[in-house]
Amino acid sequence: MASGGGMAAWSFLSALALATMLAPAGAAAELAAQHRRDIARLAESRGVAAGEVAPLVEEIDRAASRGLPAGPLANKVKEGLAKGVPPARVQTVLRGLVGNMDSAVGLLGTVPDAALRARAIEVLAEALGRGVTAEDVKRLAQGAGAAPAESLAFGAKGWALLREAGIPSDDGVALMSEAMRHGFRSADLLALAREVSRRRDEFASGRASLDAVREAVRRGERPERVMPPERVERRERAPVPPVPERPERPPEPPAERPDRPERPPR
Amino acid sequence: MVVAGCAASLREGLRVRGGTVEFRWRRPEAVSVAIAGDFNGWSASSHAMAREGGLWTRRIALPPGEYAFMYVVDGREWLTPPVEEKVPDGFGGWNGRVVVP
Repeated sequence: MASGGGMAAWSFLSALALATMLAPAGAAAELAAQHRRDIARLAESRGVAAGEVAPLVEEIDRAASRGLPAGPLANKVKEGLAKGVPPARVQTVLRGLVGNMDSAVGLLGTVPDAALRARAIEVLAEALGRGVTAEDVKRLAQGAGAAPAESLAFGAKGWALLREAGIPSDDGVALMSEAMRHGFRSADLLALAREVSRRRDEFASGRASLDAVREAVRRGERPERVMPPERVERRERAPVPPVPERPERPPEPPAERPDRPERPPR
Repeated sequence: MVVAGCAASLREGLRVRGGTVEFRWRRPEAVSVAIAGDFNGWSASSHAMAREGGLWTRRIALPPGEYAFMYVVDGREWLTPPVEEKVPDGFGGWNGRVVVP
């Protein structure tokens, strides 16, 4: 990606002033203010002019005023700026994400809990961005019965993973619906989809059967037992290379305290 | 943006133990490598990796969830990690993804 550093006249102070100007009042605006500062800093590091980044912030503000979660939108802007993506292109992507969130809101309906609502919107928007259609989501909802919004969102994301793995629509939607109907948690839905995706060759060749997996779900098998045990064992070993590691392994680094996730410096 | 190939060392990759992710990547020609992702606001400087026996490594404690990330080489080159799960970033590239159960 192009760095573009130092090309445009940029005033960090003016960016902060702009951020202050745009910041809504109240405690709820604190997080948004932090996002603004982060965006301003990233823009500065990439030599992006304040006038180019302001429309991005305004886009996020408009979305937030409609009740869409601002955090994922701000994060997408940060990602684009950090990678040196031109602001106009960032805005296009941002608008696409906002559009998917708006669609997600319509599909999810009313979700009283604000945190769950934000999470469901974010996850379902991601699924929509990865090729899941509104019709797919409606089929998932119908197949799952009275599944909560979060389950619907994660079921849709699970279907997105299956879809990318080449699983046929009817099979993938039916599997996710069944799992949702049987109360699979969000993490379990994604784990199931990832497991099937990882072993897609077995399903494509007929060595494994999606019908059998779905039947196991229907029988009420626990999520970790939906796949035959030996398959699960193979799955767990799959990411580890077959070559013995320990003899080649470099010395363990000295014990260190794991880092906490950090925000970029102010 | 350059997308990294996957044919690299057998020992590079991700390891998730408890709530800590160990990132390991073979990039011998790099002078510096950092991890940028949605867990650190895509900062290309806050999570530098250390060179250890031909690998660049870093351990990061993360709450349960899914995280998109890339490796940043020498402060300017953003590369897609050679991990199993990759997701499009919307800008024409791909992010690696790590899941913390």
